[in-house]
Amino acid sequence: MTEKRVRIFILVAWAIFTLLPIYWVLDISFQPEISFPPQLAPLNPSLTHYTSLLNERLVVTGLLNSLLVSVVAALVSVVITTMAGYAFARLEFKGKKLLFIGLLMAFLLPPNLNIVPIFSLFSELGILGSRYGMVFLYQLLVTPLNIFLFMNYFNTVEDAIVESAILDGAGVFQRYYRIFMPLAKPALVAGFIFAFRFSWSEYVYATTMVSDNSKILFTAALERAIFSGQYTVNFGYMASGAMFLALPVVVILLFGQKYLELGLQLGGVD
Amino acid sequence: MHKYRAFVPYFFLFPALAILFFFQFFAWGWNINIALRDVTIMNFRRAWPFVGLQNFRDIFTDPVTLITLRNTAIFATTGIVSQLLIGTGIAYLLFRAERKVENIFRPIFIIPWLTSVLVASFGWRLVLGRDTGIVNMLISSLGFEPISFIGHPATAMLAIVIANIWRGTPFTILLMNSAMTSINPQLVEASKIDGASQWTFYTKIALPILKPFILMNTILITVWTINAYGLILNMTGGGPLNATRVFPLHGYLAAFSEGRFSFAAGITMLSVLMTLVLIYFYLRFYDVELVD
Repeated sequence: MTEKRVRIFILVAWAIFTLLPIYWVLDISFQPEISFPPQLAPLNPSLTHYTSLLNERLVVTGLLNSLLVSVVAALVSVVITTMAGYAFARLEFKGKKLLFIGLLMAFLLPPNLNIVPIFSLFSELGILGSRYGMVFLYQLLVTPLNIFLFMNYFNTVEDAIVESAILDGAGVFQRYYRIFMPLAKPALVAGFIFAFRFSWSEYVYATTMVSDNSKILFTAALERAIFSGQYTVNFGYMASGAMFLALPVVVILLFGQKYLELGLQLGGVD
Repeated sequence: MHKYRAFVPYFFLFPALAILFFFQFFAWGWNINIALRDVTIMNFRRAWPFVGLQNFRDIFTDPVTLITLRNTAIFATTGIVSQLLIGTGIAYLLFRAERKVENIFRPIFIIPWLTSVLVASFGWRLVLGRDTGIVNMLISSLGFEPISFIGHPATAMLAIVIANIWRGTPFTILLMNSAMTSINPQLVEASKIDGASQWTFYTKIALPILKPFILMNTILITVWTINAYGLILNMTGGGPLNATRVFPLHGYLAAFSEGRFSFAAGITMLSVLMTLVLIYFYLRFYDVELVD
């Protein structure tokens, strides 16, 4: 029995390590006065960091812009990746294997790697710093993962349903939006949340590509608010801002856990 | 029975694949163009003179490049080894645990994977912070002076390594755990009946089954770790004194804080090449038959 205790002990230790930064962010975000030594739990919990963060005009602009960009990016993603997932799962075509390998490569290549050429290309195209440019760019982060998600999901649809639709005279397009799309509703939600999450919390491109204050995204605005003091870092903003960033994750954990595993099996780190 | 015209599948594929093509493969071509010219913040919007391989000569004669390569080696080796060992260990413990126990810990362990790089960075900056951290609370309660982890070269490296392990390990836990679950329980029983010792079972039966998974996992986390500069950019900005400036971050900072775009494009090219080599090995193990 002692060996079993050791095993549980190690699991608990790793769980503590995993939860520590999350707990600490939560703890700091509710402490009105952050001073050393910090409190292990907020003695006088208050929402002051949240309210003053939401009183920063740039942060509010950033929140609204990020909301717009993330929702549009997620909608676009769901449309284009269900289409591609449908083709990979259910249609026959020449070059399937080659395109699939290309897709895998695109999935494995870290998107941040290409920031220099993308910055230059966006500048040449005149879409540098535009919100719709960012919608377009954020497809890069999530497209491969969502194609895998929908491909796997469409593969699980029983052939009998498809066969009977074909007998009823449903063509390839009708099958896509009359059979596969309605059946995939739960996966659509998961794909939407995945895509939303990536765009919502993306940092490197958001801070580099957008310089116009009216188009600033949340992560960039947050970064500026945290370091707006000349010599001081606003830790309250850092903590409460992190909670805003983690919000979609909470939603995923509460509602999307069933589909999470599928996405997780396919991996992907931003 | 599945009758449609030959172009139809490509119609469905086009939007998604065109976007990926533009941002990955087309962007590389454009990147080569930048890397062979002399583009800085000064002539970014004007003509770009062709300079051939001059940028690569600059990269390899730049003393900072050497430092960034060394930093990458330290950051990547410690990160990859820890993620593999800890991740596989935790995966094994989850695998051995009762269902009830596994169901409690599993959702907790995947949280870092779900949070963004920024949450990892902010979280660890607060935990390790000089004025905000629980670590410094312990240090000062032991009677020592609190330290600024991201303010000193050696401890800054430690801070980014820890944050990266925190964020990267869940992937290994999940992948290795599902690999272990795929071992046929009958095999375990049969080896017990044959009287194989636990050690023989692990080394002769379990390890060969897990080997391809370990290999795949190692390649993936290597790709992600050597290219993961977003976390470092936010935590330390590459400092202090270039102590956490890793190779891809060297490129990023060259472009966006020093205005040397062609120099950065050269670094991007080298990083992409390095990554493609790793991906080539990965694809050789990946079961592409899956789609046929």
